[in-house]
Amino acid sequence: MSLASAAALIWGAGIRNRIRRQIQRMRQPKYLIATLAGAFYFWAVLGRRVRFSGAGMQLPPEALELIQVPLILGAMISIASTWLFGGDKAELTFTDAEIQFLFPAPVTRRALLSFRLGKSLLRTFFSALIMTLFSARWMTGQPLMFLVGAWLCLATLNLHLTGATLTRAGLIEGGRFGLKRRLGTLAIALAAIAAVAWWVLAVNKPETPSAWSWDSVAAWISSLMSSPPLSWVLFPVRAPIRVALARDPSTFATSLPPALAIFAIHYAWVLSSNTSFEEASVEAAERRARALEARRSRRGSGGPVVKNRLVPFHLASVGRPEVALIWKNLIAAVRVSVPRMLLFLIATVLAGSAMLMKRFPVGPVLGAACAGLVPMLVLIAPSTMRIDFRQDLGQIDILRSFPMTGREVVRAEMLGPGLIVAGLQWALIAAAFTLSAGYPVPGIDVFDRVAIALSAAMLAPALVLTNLAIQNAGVLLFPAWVAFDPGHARGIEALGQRLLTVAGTLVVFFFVLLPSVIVGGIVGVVLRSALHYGALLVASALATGLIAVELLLAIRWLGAVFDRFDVTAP
Amino acid sequence: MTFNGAPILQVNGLGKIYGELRAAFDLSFEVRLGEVLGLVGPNGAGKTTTLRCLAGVIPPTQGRIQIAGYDLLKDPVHAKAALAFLPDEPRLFDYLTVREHLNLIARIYGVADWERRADVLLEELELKGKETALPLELSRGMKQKLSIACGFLHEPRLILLDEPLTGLDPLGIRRMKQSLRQRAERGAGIVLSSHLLPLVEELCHRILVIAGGRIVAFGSLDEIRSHLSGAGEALPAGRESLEDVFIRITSQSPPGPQEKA
Repeated sequence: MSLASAAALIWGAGIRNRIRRQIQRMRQPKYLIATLAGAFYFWAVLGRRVRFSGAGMQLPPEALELIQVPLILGAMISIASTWLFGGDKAELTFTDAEIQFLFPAPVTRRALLSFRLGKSLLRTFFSALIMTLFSARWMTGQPLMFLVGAWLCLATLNLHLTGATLTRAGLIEGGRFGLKRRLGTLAIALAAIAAVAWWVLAVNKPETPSAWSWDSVAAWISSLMSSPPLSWVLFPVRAPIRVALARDPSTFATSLPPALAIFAIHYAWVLSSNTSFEEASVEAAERRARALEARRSRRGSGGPVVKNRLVPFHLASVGRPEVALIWKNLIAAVRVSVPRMLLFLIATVLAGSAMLMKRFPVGPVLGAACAGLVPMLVLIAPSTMRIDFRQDLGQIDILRSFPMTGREVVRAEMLGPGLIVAGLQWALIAAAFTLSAGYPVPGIDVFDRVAIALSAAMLAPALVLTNLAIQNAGVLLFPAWVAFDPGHARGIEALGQRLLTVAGTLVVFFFVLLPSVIVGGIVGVVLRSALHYGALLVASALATGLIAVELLLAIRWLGAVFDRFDVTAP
Repeated sequence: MTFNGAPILQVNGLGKIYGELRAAFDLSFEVRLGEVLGLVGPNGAGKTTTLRCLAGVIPPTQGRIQIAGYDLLKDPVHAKAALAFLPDEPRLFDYLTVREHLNLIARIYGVADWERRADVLLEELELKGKETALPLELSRGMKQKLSIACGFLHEPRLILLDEPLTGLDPLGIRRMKQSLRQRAERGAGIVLSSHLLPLVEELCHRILVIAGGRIVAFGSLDEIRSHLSGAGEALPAGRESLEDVFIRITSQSPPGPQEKA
């Protein structure tokens, strides 16, 4: 069997089996519902725009001329950055299986490279197809011509970048691309850019901005790109773009041959490369495999593991075992860099509030920013702080073998992130209280402020724990829905799963909080006239108490779910 | 060899069903203190499922498991406190160092003198000098050794091992065998699942052969041999190895992995 027929088998069987597996998964209602939800979203948001011809508006020729500029610039930047700053090794992307079966197979190096190029061309075809579905109608109204052109654009660019990578690596391997040569190349590139800039400003001087119009700018750009020497330089980049933007068959027919010629030249160039890519490709595949393994073992906790000596506290060897899991998760928070996003959020809000400080006093502005962050953390922090079951799903068999009740494990898993977020919230509430203390607000005295701060300090962590309970319940009830493995759930189904998860979380959050809101609201209204802001404190205490009861019941139930959890269930 | 010690593990009618598949069916056996039981069977026989049920990792569909006199389903905390489960793939926390793993286990199992024990284990398993390393910085074999150290830290009375020698170098294999022997001599009960039949033959007092989720032979190697000869099987001249016995037994047992429920 030749490598070409082997490649056809691999790709054909791969696509067929993926579709078959997707259909098999849809026999389970949860995956079927997720697929339907994803398909509906896909259609509602994007699909309705997919129409190719008829009544739709197409871009005028001037706009098509203008639209070439960012496309050409994007391509040129990609090409320049690969030549100037690309990797030093000829890394081509092969999967582990391809490396295992094809590298030792009795095939030539050239055949292996052809296989890799064929795979890239297939992938770029699907990208071009997606682009055509969403862009062809409003750009040219010629989907087939657009598809051919978009594919030629992407494929030629892909071939060029591959060729550049191989050529660079070959030069470095031969010791012909040292620092001096790199600096020389950079200097030449900068000189070329400077020459073009000079030429644009001196020879093809644009009109003054006051005289600019769509037509005049388009005409200037068109003349600029059509004038030598820039037209010669840009010809290989523009040729396939012209095919994609062709609005009639005659333009398409005249644009196609040069684009095909450029594609063919690139293909031949890459295929003629003698640079050894095997070793670097194997290394790259191993790196990817290690990264994937690390992601799988952490199941979505995200970020690399950082080694540092920070431990939250000394863990004594005797005492309640839950503390060990909390300790473990607090270490994870520091080493898996989870809180960075929260710190970034806090820094962004505080920096944003700095803009208001010119008009308002610093204290109240910062205080308001701190206060505003507290409810934001209730919604955002439990989704980003995944140092609980979402992180430990890969080691759940180990957790199950520990001599702890399910209730203890669930409580410990929730308390890790809960303590961190509660600590942040309490710090923010204290900061808000302190920063705004010196600024009087009509109708609110110091006791009212204390009541408000205490109410927030009670309610905020309770709400965070509620959200965390919902997130962890999702893991224990629908473990397959916790996205951790890129190969596990993809496409429409994965999109639907995420939508349902978010929607489900909001609905459950609403119903869990409903009793507390009703009871707290009634008590607050009744006591308001007598206690003023003191009523808020009483209402918050009652609401927090109700949430605490609900949380205890939830932990009890989730503990039982954990005790019955079957790690081998599909 | 006969063991008169108290049974540390008692299994009665254990079964595990996945949908329409019986991964384990009506398994009944016991392991006494100081005994090493080998669990062998072809791929897909139900060995790992059985071990996971015994460790309390997955709930059995039917049957009763008692560990150190505690019912694993009714009193899982006391039952699990007496056992250690070492899966075939070491499952470690990426963000904890070697020593922090041992600290975590010490707290969970309440090992007061864990630091002394940890030092001994780290020395024994050649992990000295790696105390501050993260799992990602360890080789496959080192991870396996760390997993073993975690399992042995609380001196379990029942040790469940699934392919324990995977990834270990020859010296590590020798030390692991010595360590298992010593622990059995000190009174621990051991259940060892492995495809390495010479290892099972060397270490185990009794052997449980399962195929298709059912027990197809149980006893010492001699008992299984004599059972086969009593059943009319013509034994070849000389003593048959476990490998020979295993092949004869499993070639008679129902083919395929698990049965339909």
